[in-house]
Order: sequence, then structure tokens, then C-alpha cells
Amino acid sequence: MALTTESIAEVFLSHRLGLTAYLSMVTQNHHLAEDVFQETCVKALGKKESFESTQHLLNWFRVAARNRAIDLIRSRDGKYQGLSAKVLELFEQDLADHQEERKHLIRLLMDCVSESTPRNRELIRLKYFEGWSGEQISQKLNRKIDSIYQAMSRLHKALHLCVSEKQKKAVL
Amino acid sequence: MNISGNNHDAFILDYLRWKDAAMSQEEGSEFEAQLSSDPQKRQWFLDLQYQETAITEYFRNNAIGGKTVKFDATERKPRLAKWLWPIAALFVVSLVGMWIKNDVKDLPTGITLEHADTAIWEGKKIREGDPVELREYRLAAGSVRFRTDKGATISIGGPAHFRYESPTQLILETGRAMAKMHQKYSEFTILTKDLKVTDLGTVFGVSVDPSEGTLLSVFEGKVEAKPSKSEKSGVHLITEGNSMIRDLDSDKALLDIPYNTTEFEDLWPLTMGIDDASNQVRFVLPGANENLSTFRSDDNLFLLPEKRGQFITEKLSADLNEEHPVFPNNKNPNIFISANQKVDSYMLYFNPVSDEAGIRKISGEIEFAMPVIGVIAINSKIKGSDNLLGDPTINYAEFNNRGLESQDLDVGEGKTLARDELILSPDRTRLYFRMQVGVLHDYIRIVTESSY
Repeated sequence: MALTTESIAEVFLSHRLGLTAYLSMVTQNHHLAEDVFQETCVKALGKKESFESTQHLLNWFRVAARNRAIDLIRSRDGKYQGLSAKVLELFEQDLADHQEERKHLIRLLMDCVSESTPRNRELIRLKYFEGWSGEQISQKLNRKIDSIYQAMSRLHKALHLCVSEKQKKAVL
Repeated sequence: MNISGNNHDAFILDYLRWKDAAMSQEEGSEFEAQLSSDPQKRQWFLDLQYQETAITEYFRNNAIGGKTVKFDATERKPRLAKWLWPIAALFVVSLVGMWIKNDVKDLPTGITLEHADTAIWEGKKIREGDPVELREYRLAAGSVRFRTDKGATISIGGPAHFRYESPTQLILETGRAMAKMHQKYSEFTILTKDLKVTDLGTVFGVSVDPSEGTLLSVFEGKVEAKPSKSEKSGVHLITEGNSMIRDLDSDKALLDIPYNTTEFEDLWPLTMGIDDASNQVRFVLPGANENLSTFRSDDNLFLLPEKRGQFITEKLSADLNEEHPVFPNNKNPNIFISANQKVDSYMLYFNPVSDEAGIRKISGEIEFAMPVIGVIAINSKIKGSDNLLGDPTINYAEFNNRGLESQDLDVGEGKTLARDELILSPDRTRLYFRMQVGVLHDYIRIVTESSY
């Protein structure tokens, strides 16, 4: 039986952050990823696609949104220089295989971000929320670019460990 | 470049440089190749991508509410209701749009805007379903398709400046236009500053660049072309597979040039009834005098229009239709395309370049202007429909084992070729595909209602 409009909306709601994470991979721009996410949601609902399962809906969504994102970038920049379709398809398959495992990952990660030091939070705010490059951050903070990358790398590693710990605790 | 085996720290550093576009082209290619071949690195990459999203979400929530949004079940209901409001509004707008569309489709000019693809208008706008007035229009970007009640389809690519003089005559000041006549008695003329092109049952394209003149390419059939401001003017008969240019600086009436299809590549699918398609779908333009088997790619599949307006007198055996919209169908029902109707046919095929053993995957969707009434996906059934629906200029015998795999196949060396999948949307205009190819190729025939 096909998913109802409300159940489609609920799937999008519960998978919003995971799908946006995937689209950020395509666009390398979180704000554009969000635009494409919204547009594709409306397309799915407005065109009354027959989605027989959540899996079917999510598979369709990733392909449709990926293509839309690439089209938008091509029309804006004249070309798309992100990951190739072949690699993106591998990621789509990986996500399809592990989507339940990853469903609650972002909530855990947000808790980890809130637990990081103010100085580290400022660094990742500039990098990902403000969209600054490593070079721009190095100029603002008057630090060498290599030290910015090293600090960012440590932060990512710390977030990785933090979320692993939280997952372990959740299992226990 | 830092990548060294399975070193997580080095991978993160590479990721950061990749994000900043700070890698050389070679480093970028190497980074992508490693993602392609190493599941562990894809896992790390996904982890980093999720971290980015969590970080952005955290700071956004702080900025707007001062606290982190939790996704507890207790909070879900009001969020869902709030989220559905714009969708409900969209449905209302769609319903109003459909009402308007139905109300105005038969107005006197006999020309309507059938489809618009990211169209941006300057000045007077036209929406899908609107009648066209006999006035000037400026299409700043995107492309549009018009339909005339005289049996013509006209596609225009922006930027373009044009006006309809009558239901059978278009004046193209600048931009690109493609015209297709669907019936023998169809008629249409495109006038440019220096050329008048009249169809003689055909598909042709005209491109006007004020600094270079007018380019004319004929894709099917033939046209009459008459330079409007030349002392040597006379009527030229131009046949399919040929291009000419009316050069503003030349005193010659018309110059022969090599057959030019690139100028019209985006208009061709639109004119032939394809409203939208994934990037992986490429279109085979006619008249190139190339063998079809030369159109091969590891990353793209090709769509070729076949017979148009073909009347079928007997039901055809198929593998997917409105009643059975998913392929493969485990229940193995008898699926048919009904007799006594006019149809258009398309060939979609995935034919990788490399003959080496290996599995290649491709997925995407195609949106057709007319509803799909059936898809023929099994080799024997495709063969059986070649004469009726195939392009008579193509030697289909060179393609063996054309159909899709309806079940997983063991291809040796521990590899499995997964079954191919097709899904037709409920409104029957969109076909979703996921294909996998080993050493052969995948090939399907898509049958839609006829556009005229």
C-alpha cells in the first residue's frame, strides 16, 4: 500500500537532518542543501509519487534531490565540480544500508557539540555555520593555516569519539 | 596529500582540504578514487558530513531559540502540523492552477504553453497552460514548449526574444527555437531578421545570434529556407542531417556548414516529449550518420525517440503498465498495452564502454510529457515489438540480449548482478529506473500515449 501524504511528511521530518547531510555532500554548501531538501519534499508531495515504503521514498529522494542539486549548481556556476555520480551512488547505497543506524546520530552529535569547549565551538561555528574557509579562519584568528586544520581535525576526532561513547551507553 | 593507508587523522585533514577546495586536481581525483574503492573511508566521510550537519543545526537552534531542538515523540506532533501548512497551501495553489489550466486551454490563438523548465520571463509572463497572445515575449532563462492546435510543437531556449505573428508563424529576434510538425498537414514558419524557414513535415532548429546571424539545422524531413535580405535570395531546400548559416557579413545567400546539433541539444528532448530527466540520461539526436552502437558510456544511458504517432491494432505484450507499475513483478502477471490507440515509442539503453567484466550501476528518472502506457523490458518482447515501434533506420539485430534482469544473477567470482528495477508514478508521467549491467547492456522500450 502506498504511503499517505502524512506518512511521507513524517518520514521527511524524521530523516530531515540525515538527508540534508547527504545533500551537503553533493552541494558542499549546507544552505543550498536545505533549499534542495525543501524543494524535493514539495516535489514528492505535490506530484503524488507512489511510494510503497519508507525505503522506496528515501531511495527516490536521494536520487531526485542529488540530480536537482547538480542541476542547480550547473545553472549557477556553469559546471559541477563535486563528487562524481558514481561515488555519490556508492554513498546512497551506504546510506540506504545503514539508515536506521544513522537515524539518531545527529541528535547525539548535537549533544557532543554542546559539550565541547567555547573555544572549539567558536572554531566550528566559523567553519561550518558561517562557511569560512580554513584560510579565512587562520587570518581572523591570526594563526597558521596548518594549525587551524590540525585543531579542526582534533575536534572532528573528538566528536567522533564522543558520539561513539554515547552510542555505547545507549546500547548498555 | 596526507592520505596514508587507513589513518583516520590523515583522512580528516584531507577532508578539510577537500572542503576548502585546497587540493590540486590530481589530489582531488586521488581523494575521490579512494572514496570509491574504500568503504572505510566512505564511512569516515559520512561521519564528517553528519558532524557538519549537527554543528550547523546546533548553531541555528541557538541563534533562533537559544536551545537545542530535541526530536522527542512528544514534540513531533506540533512540528508535523506546522510543517504541513505550506504543503497544504501548495495543494490549494495546485488545484487553482489546474482549474485555470482546464478553463483556458482552448482559447482562440490555438497556441498554449505546454511545459516550462525553470523559465524566467522578463515583462509579460506565461504559465503552463496559458494561451499565448500575439505579442512580444522575452524569455531570460530556461526553456519552454508550446503546442499549437495546427499540429506543431515549438520549443524555445532562453535567453530569447520572440513573438507569434499568427498560430503558424513565429518571429524569432534572438535565441533558439525548435519546431516539430506532428501531422502531414501541419504547417509552421519561423522568421528571423534575415531568414524565413518553412517546414515541409519536419523537425528543425533555428538559432539567432545578432552578432553572427542565423543558424538552421534540419533533424528530420526537409524545410524551405529563404534569405530575406539578399540579392541572391531564392528558395533553398534543406534536408535532414544538414545545417546552414545566414552570415550577416557574407554576400552569399546561405552558407553550408557542418551539421550542427550541439546548439539544440537541450531543446531536442523537450520537443520530443521529455519534460525532465536525470543528469545521467543523454539524448541521441538524429541525422548524425553514426551507428547506434557507438553511443556508449559507463556513466550515462541514452534515450532515443522511435516511432511517433504509431497506431497499434493489436494488444502488445509488456512488462509494466498502469495496473502493474513496478518491474519486476514477482506474481508474473500477463501485462499488455491495449490495442486501438496511437502511441509514441522511446528506446532507453545503458551500454557501458568497457567490455571488461564488472558491474556498473545507474539510477535516475525520466519525466514524459505524455502518460506512459507500458514498458517492454524482456528481450523476447522487445524483439517482438521492433517492427511495429522501432526506428526503421536502426538495425536492432546488432543488439543481443537487450532486456533487463528480473532476478539477481550470480556472475561468478563471488559477484552478484542485482535485478533491475523500474517504477512508474501514479500519474504515469515519470519512470524511475535502477539498472545494473555486467558484460552486456540493458535496454527497454517505453511506450507513451501519442502527443497528437
